[in-house]
Amino acid sequence: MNLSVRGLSVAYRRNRALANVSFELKTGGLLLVLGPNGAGKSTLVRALAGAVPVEDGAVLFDGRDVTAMPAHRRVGAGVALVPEGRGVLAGLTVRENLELGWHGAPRASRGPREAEFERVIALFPILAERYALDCRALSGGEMQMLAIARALLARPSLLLLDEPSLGLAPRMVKRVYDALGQLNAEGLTTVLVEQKAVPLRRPADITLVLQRGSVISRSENATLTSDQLAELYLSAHRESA
Amino acid sequence: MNQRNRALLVAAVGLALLALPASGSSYWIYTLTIVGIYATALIGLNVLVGYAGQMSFATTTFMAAGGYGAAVLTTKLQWNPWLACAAGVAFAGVLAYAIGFPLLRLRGHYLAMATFALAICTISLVSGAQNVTGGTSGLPGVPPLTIGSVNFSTPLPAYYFALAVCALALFAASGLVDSRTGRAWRALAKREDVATSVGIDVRRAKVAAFVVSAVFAAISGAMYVEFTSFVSPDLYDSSMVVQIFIMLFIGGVGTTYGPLLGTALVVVSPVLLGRFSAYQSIVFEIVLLIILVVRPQGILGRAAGTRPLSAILPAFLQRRRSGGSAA
Repeated sequence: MNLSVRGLSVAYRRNRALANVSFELKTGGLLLVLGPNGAGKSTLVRALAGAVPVEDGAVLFDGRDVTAMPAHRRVGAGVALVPEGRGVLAGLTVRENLELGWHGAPRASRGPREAEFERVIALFPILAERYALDCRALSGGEMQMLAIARALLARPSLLLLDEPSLGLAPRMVKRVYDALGQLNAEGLTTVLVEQKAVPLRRPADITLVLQRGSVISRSENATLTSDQLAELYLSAHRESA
Repeated sequence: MNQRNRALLVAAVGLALLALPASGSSYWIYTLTIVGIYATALIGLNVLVGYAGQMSFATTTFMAAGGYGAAVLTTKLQWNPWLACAAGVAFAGVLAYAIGFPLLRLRGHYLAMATFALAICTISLVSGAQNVTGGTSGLPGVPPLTIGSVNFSTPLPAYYFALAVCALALFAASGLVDSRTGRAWRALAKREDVATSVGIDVRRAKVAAFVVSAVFAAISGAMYVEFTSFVSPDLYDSSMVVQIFIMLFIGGVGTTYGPLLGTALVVVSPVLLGRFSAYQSIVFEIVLLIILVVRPQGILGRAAGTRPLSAILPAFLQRRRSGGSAA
């Protein structure tokens, strides 16, 4: 799925959260969005998912303008969001969480339930052992795996992930990123939001660094180190001071 | 309590209720008929508040829609009572659908206040429409529901009818909660953004829960009016609005049997209080305060954020077996 974003701006009441962000991402591409707290990263993925109203600009999937399409319909159009904070639903079992994802897939592309479950479980085998458990019983890493697995059951063409490494042990971050790398290598267009440099399998096609809602750095096929990222944050801070 | 023991307990209570008329106590038959009628409304409210997470005080509005629908159509237009009840219930469903979309844009306290205002407006409306509703005097002489020679306003048929309707409501609500729609309700009650991210149309799901609760309330309202042959605004006044919430919260919000237990305790309490029944109102409020402080999740409820032992233990054992592979 080609993702084209043109001059995207979002405001919460009078506060500008995102200003004039543009990029083009080809099918199977990987976009990495970095930035400190309050930079507008989550606003960007939420705007792409249709979860916040856009003030200005346009979002196009495969040339189709979806800027005004409601969030729940974008899931059917192939866009899946893994929200910040894992977003598993406490009180529901692992299987019930997965079923919610399966029902989100368009009927035309939806495979048989068990076969689809096996497809995503192959990526995160630990979930098979937890099927009947209330997801409050899962560890942080398992919850993140469940949130990603649930999103994959909707058969997305574009996967949006909002800080999937947040609060996870380094070992779990690596496991989650290995799975994401595999999905991306299989052709899943991915937009990934993080605060700090993460262990990607390959350099992102585009890396955007946001600060206060604006793009302060843009690079292609490059891997930013933690030091480079810190320097970018600091220089932007110095300029604005 | 495990699933088997719970099933046994439910079966035992069911059998006891079926056999109760053999005791010959007309008081208990009457009281439990009222419990069955109110519990039907509470089961619907539990779907909306307990599972879909939408705070609503509008139950009496829809009870009134069902009750007045049945009463007006039978006494003023001489409709068949069954048809009149069905029309009252359908009217409540359509009304809930129509007002649900704008109303359910509101959340939390705002939604609670708006639905409370709706409940108060309902009292004014039915009190003021003298020509149609009989005003504050109400409408007496509502003809009963009958099948052949069986009259459902007489104690025994009314008792079994209320029991059957309540059991059906419980069965239907449980089925709905375990269905795809029910999962959508539970999802939006936890986190609306997550529900949206899995393709749930949150507004439509909320309205669906609102309509379900309205239909159950209207069935309850119509049954009550047919049973007592009378309807008046007093049945839906503000004390009733509060009492319904007491029933729900005492029993346990978001539990299968909480609405039944809560209704039973509130309706039966005058008997339990004996000669102190004149102080029923203050006793209710004290009991509610104690429950809100000591056990806010209700008698059968589980505290938010706590994990059941049945969830913690297997996960712990599995993690031990797999050598603690998860972070």
